Amino acid sequence: MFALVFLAITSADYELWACGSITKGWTPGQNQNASGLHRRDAQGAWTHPGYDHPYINAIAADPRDPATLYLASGNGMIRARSNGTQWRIMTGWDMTEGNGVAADSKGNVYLALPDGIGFSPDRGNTWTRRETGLRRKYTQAIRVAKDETYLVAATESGVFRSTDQGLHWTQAGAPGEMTFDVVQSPHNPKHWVAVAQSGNAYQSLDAAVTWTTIAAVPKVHTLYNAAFDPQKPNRIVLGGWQTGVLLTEDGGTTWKSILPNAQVWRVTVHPATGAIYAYVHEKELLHSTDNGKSWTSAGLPGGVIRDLVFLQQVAQ
Amino acid sequence: MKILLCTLLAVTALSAQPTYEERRKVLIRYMADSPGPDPQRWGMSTLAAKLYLREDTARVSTRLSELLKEPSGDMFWMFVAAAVRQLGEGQLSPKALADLRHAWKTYFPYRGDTENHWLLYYASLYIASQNEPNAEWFTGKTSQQNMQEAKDYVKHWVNLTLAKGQGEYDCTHYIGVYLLPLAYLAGWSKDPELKQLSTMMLEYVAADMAHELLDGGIYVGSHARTDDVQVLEKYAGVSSNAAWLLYDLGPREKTPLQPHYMTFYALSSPWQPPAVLHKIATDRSKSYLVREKKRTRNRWRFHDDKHGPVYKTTYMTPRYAVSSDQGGVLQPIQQHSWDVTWRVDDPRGVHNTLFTTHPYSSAHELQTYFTPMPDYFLDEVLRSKKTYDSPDKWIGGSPYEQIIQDQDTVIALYDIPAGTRFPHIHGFFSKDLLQLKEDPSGWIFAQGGDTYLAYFPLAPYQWKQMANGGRELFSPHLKNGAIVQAADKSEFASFDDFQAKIRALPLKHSTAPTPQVDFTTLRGKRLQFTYGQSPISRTNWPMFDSPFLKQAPGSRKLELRHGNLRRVLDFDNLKILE
Repeated sequence: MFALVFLAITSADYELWACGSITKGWTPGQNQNASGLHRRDAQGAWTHPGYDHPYINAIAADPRDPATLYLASGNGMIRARSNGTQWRIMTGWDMTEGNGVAADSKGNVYLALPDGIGFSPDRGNTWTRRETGLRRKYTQAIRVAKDETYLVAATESGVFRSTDQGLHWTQAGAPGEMTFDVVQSPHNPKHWVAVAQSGNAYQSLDAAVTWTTIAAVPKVHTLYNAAFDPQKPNRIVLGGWQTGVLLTEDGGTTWKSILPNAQVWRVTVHPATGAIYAYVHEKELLHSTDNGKSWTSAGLPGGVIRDLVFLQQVAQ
Repeated sequence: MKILLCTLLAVTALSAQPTYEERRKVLIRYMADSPGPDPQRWGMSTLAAKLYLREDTARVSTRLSELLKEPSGDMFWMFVAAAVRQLGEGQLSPKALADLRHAWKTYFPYRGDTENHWLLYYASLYIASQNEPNAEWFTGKTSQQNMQEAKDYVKHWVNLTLAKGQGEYDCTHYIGVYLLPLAYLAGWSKDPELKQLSTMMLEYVAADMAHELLDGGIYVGSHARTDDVQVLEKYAGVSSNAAWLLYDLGPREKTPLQPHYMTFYALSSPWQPPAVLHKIATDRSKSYLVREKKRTRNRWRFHDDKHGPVYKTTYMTPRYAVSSDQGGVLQPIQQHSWDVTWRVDDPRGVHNTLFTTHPYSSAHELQTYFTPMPDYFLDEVLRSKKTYDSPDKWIGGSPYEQIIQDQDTVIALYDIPAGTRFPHIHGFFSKDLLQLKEDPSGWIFAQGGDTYLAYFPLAPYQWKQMANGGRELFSPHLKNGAIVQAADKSEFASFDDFQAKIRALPLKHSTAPTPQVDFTTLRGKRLQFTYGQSPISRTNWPMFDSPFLKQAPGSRKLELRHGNLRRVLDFDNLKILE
């Protein structure tokens, strides 16, 4: 009885947020209704808070106010308050086509841009640039380490690290590689994984200071993102184009293809149930509760989903 | 059909030399009337024109409310909506105004990914916010914040353009999308500084086009962007509409080809070219050389500098023009690097051009200039730019093309790595060539209008018949090239005489180990060009240098001159000096 209650509470704590475009059959000039931000409740029902927008690329919740979301978008950085319903463009003309976004508990917000990194010390109200040291400025993703003592960025020329809130960056790994994602383990904060356009995956076991190729990952095509299972330390998934979904349950020593030949934009793991979610290009969101032996639809048909994030449910 | 006929008659009925105001009204009348009397066929553009003409105002308000139920088009919706509000002052019903305010609050336009998008977005947002100082906006910002951000962007764009040249330079279509937002700000802004800056920049962009208009109003030359139609039918661009509206160039009895952008220009701006600019656009009595410096579109990846230089050369003559950039991929998808364009009396439907390209497409090119993920983006591009990944396409730059030009001679060399997606070059030989002859010397001789053309291919080729009636010179050799010499028919006793003189020109060429040419032009200039070793010095290349326009590198002053007329756009002091 106790276990049942515990499970019910933990799975219901989380909602899946997705952002992207519904593109199947779309031609230029048509409205992209239902593109933008999507929210899936614990019962599996989707809603579409906020505006229609064709280029919302990444989502981050404000650690101090989880009902406030930061959205990296084609119009710059949008702050979406009240569970994504009240939008305001926080950046000006000089920050366009945001790729990734991260926030810490001090009110700092970082925006990954095609020409560098934007920094706001006050939850998006004011902005400066923080990109000194980047070899090339194109930045796809940016993360704040759990202890908030350093940042890690996935850029056109590999993984970079900063210990002074982005004032200075140093090359940490994957030199010369167009890296698309970098993620930190929720279990071992020194463990990071990054993925690249080449199909290479990298990991760091020393808090993103040094990186090595994960040799066992089969190099097929572009890898777009990685996710750790918040419950099981050695369980990691990677998503990629034609690669589909790769799963390891031994910390990266061996990998198996659990959604082969699929064109996967984004993959993530439910924080409570361990279910794997993968978005397949212009098809739908799939999820699997048996390590990929079977997949069922979780909705959002016909799109390009650029980010999938589980967030703790916030009361309306 | 009846409406079209009426408009045709209206245009035909124009005086022999219609004034700017008469031409302006033709466009607006066309926009107002062309959908017919049924309001269900009226779009936002029709409403804007009718509001300008102060016609059907009750029905316009009703129709506006209907159209605002589902806005679409992002910044292309914004500029129309801004004009409707501006022109609807005192005419729109309270409900229509409320519906318009509601749309600006609830519809969230994407800002876009290139400068014409951004300029359109910000000029429209500025004018819309100016008209609704207390409204709520999709941006979440106040009207005053919107206007300040918009003004900041426009100033940034002007400064960047003055320093490095325009990014989307000399576009046959997008010229309209630069003239339009500048006209909005020049005509409708109440901020004296922004109004003056926009008026001067409008003249700057118009002048840029004016000295490269072939007689008849065709915008010649290498273009940052053109399209599959306009690259062949040189007259078919918005630029021709602009040349007609601003300078009365082109066939007199024409109906607007693509009236959309220039009609909105006409709705917003009473600005018309000063006398010196009119002279520059229309005086083709002598040949002259144009050099211009431009810049690439934003290069997000693979380059240390966001903007690379574009060095443009154009040789204008009364009867033809030859123009080129330095080669390479300077813009994504729609670049046009070089051609010869000849004048014809009536250019409608005429393919009055000759050029060669290496059709190139790659994820690398798209990733350089765009930010979306590589594996899907090609598919997205193909939804609007259908020929991008086609071996038969005629637009787009190639990293394996290098070009030099001296007056009316162009040499284009190609060194294409094995394994490149489309391993061939091809030359466009128009259906409208009056003569075409393959000579045993290796030269191909042709005549377009009153222009003689000589084309020397560096590698073997074959002809392919094209569906549009032209012929494609197809050469599957990776090390390749072409020499093109143009000349005026009047210089020679006959076509045979032209051929004899070309055959006599000193020429050595090779494709191994790399393509190279040693050619003395018809004008007596020896050109020695090896792929990878351009003989052209491009240091201190002027921003503008022609008999008509002067802007030195580093200067923020553009001088317009013709005969005794002088005019200086002084951006340092935001003044126009005469």
